Amino acid sequence: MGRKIGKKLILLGMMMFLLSIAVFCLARQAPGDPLQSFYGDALERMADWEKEAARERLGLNDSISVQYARWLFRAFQGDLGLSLRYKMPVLDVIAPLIGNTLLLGTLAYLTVFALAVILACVCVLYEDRLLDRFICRLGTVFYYIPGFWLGVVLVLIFGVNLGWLPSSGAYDIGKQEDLANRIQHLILPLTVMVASHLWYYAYMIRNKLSEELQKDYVLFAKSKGCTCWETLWKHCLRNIAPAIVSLMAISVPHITGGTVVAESVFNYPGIGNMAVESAKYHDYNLLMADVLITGLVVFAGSFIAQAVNEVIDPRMRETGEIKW
Amino acid sequence: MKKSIRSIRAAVMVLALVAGGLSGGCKKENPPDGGQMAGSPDLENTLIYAGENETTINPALTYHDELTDIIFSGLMKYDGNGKPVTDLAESYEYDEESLTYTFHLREGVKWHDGEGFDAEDVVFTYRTLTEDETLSSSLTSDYEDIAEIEAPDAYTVRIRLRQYNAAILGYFTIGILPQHLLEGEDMNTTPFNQSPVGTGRFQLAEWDRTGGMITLVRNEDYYDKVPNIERVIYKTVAVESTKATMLESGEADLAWLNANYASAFRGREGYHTWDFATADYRGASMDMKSDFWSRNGDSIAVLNYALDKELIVNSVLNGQGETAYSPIQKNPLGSDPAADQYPYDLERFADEMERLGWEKGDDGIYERNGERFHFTIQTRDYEEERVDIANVMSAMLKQAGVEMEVALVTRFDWSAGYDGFLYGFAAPFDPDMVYKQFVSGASDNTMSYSNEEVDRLLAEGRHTADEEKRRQIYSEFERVYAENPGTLLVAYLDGNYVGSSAVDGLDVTRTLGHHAVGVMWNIEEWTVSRQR
Amino acid sequence: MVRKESPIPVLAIVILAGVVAGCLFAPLIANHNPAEFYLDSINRPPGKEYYFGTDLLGRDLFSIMFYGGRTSLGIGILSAAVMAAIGTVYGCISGTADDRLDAWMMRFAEFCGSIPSILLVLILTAIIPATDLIRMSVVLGITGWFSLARMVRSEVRQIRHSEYVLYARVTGGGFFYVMYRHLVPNCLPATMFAMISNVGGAIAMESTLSFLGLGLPLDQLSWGSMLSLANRALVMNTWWVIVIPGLFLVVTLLCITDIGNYIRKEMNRKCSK
Repeated sequence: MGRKIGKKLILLGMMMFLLSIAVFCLARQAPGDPLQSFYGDALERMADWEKEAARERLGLNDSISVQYARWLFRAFQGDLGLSLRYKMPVLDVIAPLIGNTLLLGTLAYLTVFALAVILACVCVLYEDRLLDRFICRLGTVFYYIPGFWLGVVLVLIFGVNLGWLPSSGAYDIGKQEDLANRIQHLILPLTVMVASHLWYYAYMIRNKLSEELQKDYVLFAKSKGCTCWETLWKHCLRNIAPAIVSLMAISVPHITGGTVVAESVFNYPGIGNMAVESAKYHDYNLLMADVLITGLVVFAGSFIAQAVNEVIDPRMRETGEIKW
Repeated sequence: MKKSIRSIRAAVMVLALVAGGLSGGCKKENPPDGGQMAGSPDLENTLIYAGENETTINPALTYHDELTDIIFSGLMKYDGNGKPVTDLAESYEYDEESLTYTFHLREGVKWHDGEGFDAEDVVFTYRTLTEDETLSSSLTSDYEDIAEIEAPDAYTVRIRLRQYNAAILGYFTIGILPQHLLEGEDMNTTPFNQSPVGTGRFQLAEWDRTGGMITLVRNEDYYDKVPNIERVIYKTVAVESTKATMLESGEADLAWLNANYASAFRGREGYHTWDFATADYRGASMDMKSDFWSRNGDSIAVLNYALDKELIVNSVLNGQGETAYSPIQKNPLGSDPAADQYPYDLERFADEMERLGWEKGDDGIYERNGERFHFTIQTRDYEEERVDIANVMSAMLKQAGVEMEVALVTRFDWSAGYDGFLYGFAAPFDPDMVYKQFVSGASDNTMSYSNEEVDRLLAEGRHTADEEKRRQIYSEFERVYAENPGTLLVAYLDGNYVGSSAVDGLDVTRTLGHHAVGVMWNIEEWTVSRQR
Repeated sequence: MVRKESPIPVLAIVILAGVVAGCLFAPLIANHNPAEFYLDSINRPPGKEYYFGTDLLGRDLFSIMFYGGRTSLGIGILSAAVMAAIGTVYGCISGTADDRLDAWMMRFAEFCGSIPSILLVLILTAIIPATDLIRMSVVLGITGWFSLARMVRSEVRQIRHSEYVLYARVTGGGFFYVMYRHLVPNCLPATMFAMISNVGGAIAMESTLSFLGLGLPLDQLSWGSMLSLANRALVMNTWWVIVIPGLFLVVTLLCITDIGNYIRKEMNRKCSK
C-alpha cells in the first residue's frame, strides 16, 4: 500500500513538472515586451540602458532553460516570482484567493453529485414516464444554457430586482469570518455552477442505474418484498458506487473549469477570476501559478478518486485501465 | 467493507466548510494603528465607493488619482474653482527677482504612521521628481523648471525656478512623500505603493485583495477639517457595468457611471445624480512615429470634417457632453471658439481630400501614392464609452472613405505597432497642463507629437506672467493646434456620479479631470446618513 | 422494461435547418446592415422596423443574429473538424502502435485532458489572440481533441487485429490508407455523437470567451460577441439584448444535441443487432 502511494506521489510530481514546463514555455512565447507589463506606460521614458538593466535585473535575457531552472529553484523555496501587474509576490496575491475558490469548488462538487444521485434515482423510479422525461428535458436545457448567461439573468432577478442576494464579492465588509454571509454570497455562483454541470452527471448516473436495475438480483429483491427505494439504496447504489467515484474523478477538471466562469460573472475573488484577469493582462507569472495550482488540485483529485475506488471495489484494481 | 459514500461525502463537506471559514482569515495586509478595523460591521458612517482597479498609490507615479488625492496632501491644493490655495503650507511668498517660492509649512502635522512631517519630506519629494533618474513617471515635465530645492529650517522650504512658470503653483499640489519611508527605495517597485502613508484626510487601514476592497479611515489628526465620514471603502471593480449593478443592489454608495448607465438612475427614488463638468475629452491620438502617420501626418485635420460629433454626443454620450475642438476648451483662462474650424461637412471633406492628393479607390477607401488610408487605433476595453466612440468613429469614417481599424486591448501597448490610440486627457486647471503632452520630447508625449510653433507657444504660455497675454497665447495655440493636430478630437464628457440617497455633500462647482477624478475634492464635507 | 424506439427528432431538425438556412441566406433575410450604427434608434425594444430591437449603439439585433450566426456556426463546425482530425489521427496512431508507445500517447492525452479546457484556452489566447474565425477555431480545436482521441484509440484497439485490417496491411497498404479505408469508418458509430456535440461545445466555449472579453472582438459579429454585451444590457434593462442571443444559442445547441443523440441511438441499435 505504501509503495502504491509512493508511486502515485512520484507520478503527481512528474505531472506537475511537465505542466510547469509547458506553461512556462508557452507563456514566454507570448508577444509583447515583458517589461511592458512591469513598467507600464513608464517604459516609454526609459532609456535603452535602463531597459537593459531592468531586463538583467528581471533575468529576462537568459535562455529559456536557465530562466526555467531559476524559476523552479525559487518555486521550491516558495517564491513564485513577482506578479507583473500587482507588483507583489505572486504567492501573496494568490494565497488569499485559494480559500475562496476551494470553498466554492468543493461545495459545488459535492452539491452536484449529491443532487445528481438523487435526481438519477427519481428518474429511474419513474423511468420513461412523464416525470422522467420532463426532468431529462429540463436538465438538458439547463446544461446547455451558457453559465455566464444564466449568471447574468440570476443577477438581474435576485440581485437587482429582488435584492435578496448580493451580486458580487465573497463577503461583505468586515464579515470575512462570518460564515452565513459567505454562504449568502456563494448561493448565486453555486447555483450557476450546479445548473451547468448537474445534468451531465445526473444523466450518466441515471443510465448506469437504469442498467443496474435490469440485473437479476433486483428482481430477486423485489420478489423478496423490498420496496423500490430500499432496493435502490441498499443495493444498486452501492454496486454502481465505483462508477460514480470514477465519474467524480473525471469531473474534477470540468467543475474546476466551471469556477472560472462563475467567478468572473459574480466578481468572486478566486483563482478562476484571477486566471482570466492575468490572461487579459499578460501577467504570466500569475497565470502560471494559477494553472499550476489548478493542475495540482485536478491531479490530486483524480488520484484520490482512483485510490478511493480501489479501496471500495477490489475489481477496479485490475481493469483495462491504461497501465501506469 | 464497502464504505458508504454518503458518510465520506458528509465528512468532506464538513471539512470544506471548516476549511473555507478558516482560510478566509489568512493573508491580510498589516494595518497601521488606529481607526475602525474591518472587524466592525458598522456601516453607519461609511462610504462605499466602487472604482477602477488599483495597483499603485503613489502621487509621483499616478497622475491625479482619487485615492492619492485623499491619502496625500501637497504644499498647495485646488479649491472649488480650480485655483491653487495653501494646504500643507501655511503661507508662501514669491520673489520675482530670484524666481524663488518660499513656503512656510504648518507645524505639528503628522504622517499617518505617527512620524512628524517637516521640510525634509518636501525636499525629498521634489528632489525625486526632478533628479531621480530611475523614476519613470509622466509628471516630470511639469517640474523641469525647478532649479533648486532647499530647506533652510525644519518648516521652511525654498524652491528656486530657472525661469518664470505660470502653472507651477498648481503643480505644487502634488502629494508629499515621506522621506523616512522612501529614502533609497525604487519608487516603481517599493512595497510602499501598496501600503501608502501620507498626510491627507484619509489613511489606508487595509488593502484586502481577497475581497477586492481598500479600506480607508479618516485621519483624526488631520490639520484641517477632519472628515465627517469615518470610513471610506473603495471597492475595486473590474467591469464597468458591475459598478451600476452594485449601485442597484446597494452594495455600493457612489460610483462614476457613463452617461447611459447614469440615465438609468436619474430621477429614481433613492438615488442622487451629480453631473459635473469635466475637462476630460476623448479623441483618437495618432502616433506620429508610426509608418503611416509619418507619411500622412498632413491628413489628420481633414478627418474632422467627416465626423458628426454632435451625433456622437447625443447618442453614445446620451447628451452628456459637448463636441471638442481644442484640448484646452474647458480651461479657466477661456477658450477661443475661432479654433472650431471644422464643421461636419462631407462635401468639404471630399474637396479637402482631393486637394491633399487623395483619390477614392475602387473599394471606396481613399488612396494616395498607392497607399490606402487605413490606420489602427488601440482602445482600452475597460471604459465602454471609449470603445463605443471608437466604433462609431470608425463607422462614420468608413462611410466617408477612411478606414480606421479599432483594436481592443486590455492595456495600452506602445510597442505593438498601432497607429494611435483612443485617448483621453484633461487639463482642468491651468492650460499649461497640456505642455507635457504636446511639447516635443516631453514626459507625457507618448505619441511623439512635434510642432515648432506649438513648442514655442506652450513654452511662452508657461513663462508669461500676465494673464491677458497668456489668454492670447493659448488662443493662438488652439488655432495652431487645430491646423496641425496630432489628435482627432471628438467630445468632452460630463462626469456623472450616481449615489444612493444616503450620500450627500458632493459639490459640482469643481471641474473634474480625466476619468472624472477630483470628485472627492471636498470629501471632508460629505455625509453619509443611512436611515435604519 | 421495453425500450421504445427513439423517434426521429423532427422538431430539432426543422429548427436547426431553419437557423442554418437563415444564416446562410442572411443577406436575404436581414433587413438592415448588421454592422451599421443606427444612432437615431438606440435601445429600441423589438418592434416593426427592428424585429429584435436594437442595442445601445443602434445595431439591429435581427440582422446580427443571422450574420453572427454564420460566424458562430462556422466556428463550431471548423473547431469540431479540427478536433476530429487531430483526435482521429492521434487515436489511430496510438491504437495501432505497440503497447509502450500507446501507453505514453494515452498518458499524454489524459494528462492534457485533465487540465480544465478553459484554462488551456486562456493560456493559448494570451499567446495567439483569437481575433478571427480561423484563429478561434484553431485554438478551440487544439484544446478539445483529447477525449475523442481516447475514444478512437479504444475502438481501433478492438479492431486492429481483425482480419480485414491485417489483410490490408499484408497487401502493402500504407498507414494512412488503412486508416482511411478501414479504421475510421469503423470508429464512426462510436464517435459520431462526440463529434457532433463538439460542435455545440465549441459554440458554447466561443461565447463564454467573448463574454469574458477574450473572444472575438465586437466588430466580428457572432452570438458570443453579442452576449458579451449582456452586462451592459442588464443595467440598461434592455432585456432583448440578453434574451434573444441567449435563446438562439440554447436552441441551436439543444437541436444539435438532439440530433446527435438520435444518431447515437440509431448507431447503437444498428450495432447491437
